[in-house]
Amino acid sequence: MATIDITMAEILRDGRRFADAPRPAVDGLRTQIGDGLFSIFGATAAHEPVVVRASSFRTNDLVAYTPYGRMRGALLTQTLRLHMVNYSSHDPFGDAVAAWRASEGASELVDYFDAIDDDERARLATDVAAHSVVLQQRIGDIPPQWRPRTAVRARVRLANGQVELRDHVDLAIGSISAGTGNALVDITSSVLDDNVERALRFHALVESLRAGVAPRFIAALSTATADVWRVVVDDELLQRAVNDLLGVITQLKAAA
Amino acid sequence: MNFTQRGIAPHDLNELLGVETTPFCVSDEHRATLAQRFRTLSSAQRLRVDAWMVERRGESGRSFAWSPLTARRSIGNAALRRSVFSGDLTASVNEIIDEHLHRVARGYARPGSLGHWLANVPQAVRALVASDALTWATVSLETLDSFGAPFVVASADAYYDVAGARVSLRGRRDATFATDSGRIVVRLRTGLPASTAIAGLRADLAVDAFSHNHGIAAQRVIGVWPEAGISLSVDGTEEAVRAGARDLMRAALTQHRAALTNAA
Repeated sequence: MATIDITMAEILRDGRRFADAPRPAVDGLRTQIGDGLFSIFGATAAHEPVVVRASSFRTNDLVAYTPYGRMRGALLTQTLRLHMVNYSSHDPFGDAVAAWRASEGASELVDYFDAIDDDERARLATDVAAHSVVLQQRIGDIPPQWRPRTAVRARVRLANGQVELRDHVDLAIGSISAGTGNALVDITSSVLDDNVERALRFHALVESLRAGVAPRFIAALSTATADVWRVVVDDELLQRAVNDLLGVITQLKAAA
Repeated sequence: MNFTQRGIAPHDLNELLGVETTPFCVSDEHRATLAQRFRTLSSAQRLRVDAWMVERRGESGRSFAWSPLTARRSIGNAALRRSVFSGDLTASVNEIIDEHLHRVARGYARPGSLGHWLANVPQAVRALVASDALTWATVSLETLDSFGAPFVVASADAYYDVAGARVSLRGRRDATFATDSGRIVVRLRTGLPASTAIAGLRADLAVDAFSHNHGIAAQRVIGVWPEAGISLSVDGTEEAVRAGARDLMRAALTQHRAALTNAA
């Protein structure tokens, strides 16, 4: 994995030269995870499913996961969604807030946003505006033929519902039916680090289990540093994702 | 009861199109019996019953309000239908939204309609609606293409007004596939299928059959949950149509009782 100094659209276009590379096998993944879960849970059925999200893989308490960081991330997600329909914004913060309020019901973040003072709001506004500039410069032009989908959710149940994987991918492109395969893109307002790498592997695993076909690439764009990552999904990456998952479920069960 | 669960990989979905069931045909006698049963629910209020209510065993959820989430299917499906000719989904989504706004400007839209709501939200929210609708349409297109056969995006859901009963039944449908001896109806849903998802599919099957001019049921109704990677299907047998009608009746009865309790 290397940091690349071009737009996300360009590196995804460049990735098409790997189109003929052998695709990783996904048929045995459910069985392998099922066996691993049996060794964790045994034969006893849990009353409530253990829920695993990309955030479950964070190993340290980063600024990006404070309410402020989550708020900034939520607003950037809205900026991306508006960008993908060619909406030109003169007020990135105001537009992102309007869009976010329309899509968010009652939540902890709504309470947080309503409670922050004017100084904090001004700081958030300038922060979001700066990150939006990076996002718009670095995402590039994604052609409609790539079938872009934003804020794509996935919920996969495993081991008779004992475990539920919940995922949210900022941007998905490509087509399984057309044979090009999918690419999943994460936009983060933090720096690209091990946490992001584990989250990307989780995205690849959930997509493989959901669609029955592994994505071709997973990619990340940091609006904090303008760095872009692209990772080809192969057997080794999926195996690491399985190990990450079983490890985090063991921790979650022990903490419960 | 004949139902099937599969994934959503192209080979899984394509396999679901291979159905040899002879679809059940609803007769005038069946329609009369259905009407007679629903007429027992004498109500001042019109009842609307659909698969969603069947899945919730007749309990009504929160009252409906337009939002980017509730608007995306209507706009997304209309755009998908149009993009068959234009090939550009993004442009089609924007055209559909513009047409809603034009209808409002010309005074043709009724209060409470999608157009009225769109006309009264900030521009950024309209752009978010477009984004959500585009994602809905793209996921739908990707799913329907995975079946590997030509499809038609439904222009509307199936509606059946039960004669003399003040009850409207709605069957959800997003696309249809023509087969040698009938049709297969596909509906797309978000989230995970509930344990009552099969009952919901049977309800959609029943409404689709009753709303058909000649009462012919679909050979199969396929529900696809792209987020969960699950597809479920129910064949258009007499048993399934009858079970669907029974479930709709039960949901209507629960609604009727709730209305009476609220009125008292």
